[in-house]
Amino acid sequence: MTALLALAITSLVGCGSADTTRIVGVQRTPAIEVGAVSLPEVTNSDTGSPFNFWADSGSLLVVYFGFTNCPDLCPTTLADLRTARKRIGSTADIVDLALITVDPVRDTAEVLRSYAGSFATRFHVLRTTDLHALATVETAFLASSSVTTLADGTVSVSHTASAYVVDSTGRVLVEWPFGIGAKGMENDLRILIKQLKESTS
Amino acid sequence: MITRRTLFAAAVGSLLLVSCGKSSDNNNGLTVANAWARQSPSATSFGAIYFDITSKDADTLVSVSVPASVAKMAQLHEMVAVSAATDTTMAGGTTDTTIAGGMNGEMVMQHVDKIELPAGATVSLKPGGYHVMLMELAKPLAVGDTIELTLTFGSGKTLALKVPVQETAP
Repeated sequence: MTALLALAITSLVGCGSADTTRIVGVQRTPAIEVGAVSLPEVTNSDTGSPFNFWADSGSLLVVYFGFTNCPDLCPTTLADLRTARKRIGSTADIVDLALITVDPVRDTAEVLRSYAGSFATRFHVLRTTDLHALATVETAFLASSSVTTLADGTVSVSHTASAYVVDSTGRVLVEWPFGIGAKGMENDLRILIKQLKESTS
Repeated sequence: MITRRTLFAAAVGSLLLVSCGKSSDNNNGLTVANAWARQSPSATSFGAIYFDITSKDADTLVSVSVPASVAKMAQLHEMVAVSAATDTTMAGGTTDTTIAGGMNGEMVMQHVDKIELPAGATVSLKPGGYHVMLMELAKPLAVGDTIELTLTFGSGKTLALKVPVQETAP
């Protein structure tokens, strides 16, 4: 009887609340390793030091491929990340952001820095016009993109819409497909931050 | 003999009628909910408007417009997986760069001529799907602003909306 009651309670808990101990993003086995690739980082004073895809020690790095003339996917994902970090509070200060432009012709360094600053206080913007270098990095993340000028002169950009959370060894811990939302990101970041703190304490 | 059940059914029926009649009177059988425009990030001249729309009769949403004080142009757009996208090269475009070849979750935005509105069904314009794209914004969209959006339908109906600019979806 007690066992039955316990089972019933467990079931109720399972149904009634979301499981906050499980990652909702995609975790690949084996994990993708991206620490071996780099792209030039654009800063106010420097326009080209290589940035490697690993987080600082004790941090997590969120990586996103996008472009600033993107009205829908990019601002949705980046605003969701901003909301998730805000909800988590100061412990989310360890979450860093790397924004890579897939449209380097139109996205200048200045435009990129201004854009990224709308979504994060801690960020890196990465830009190269060397398309082989960009392709190498996209391949490492299993991502892709293209820029097409249409007959009417408008520019159509396609890109992988996922975001990636990378650890300090360059391993992709979680991949967030488009649409995971602020709630999914918050859930995963809380778990990853906890795991990181436990592993370093 | 009038039973309690009949009375109840009649009451529900009249409520439904009132609610249908009201939206019909105001909006020609069109109901729009949860309309919002995204606050502009810095350094972009593009924007998007989202809403849920229900038409009492089968119809199509064929065009959208905003005043020049908001943006130079507004169009109906849709995000689609690259494999499902209309081949833009076929439409006379030239691909400038293709990087790493379409392996994972690649999406592209495309212009759509119309959005089908089946009778009584709610169609959502939402991130990652259909949206109204604003091009060449006159100024960045700021929280607190309101955009006048006019929808035109295949039936000839039009509907004017006031869309609030927000940080996130309502």
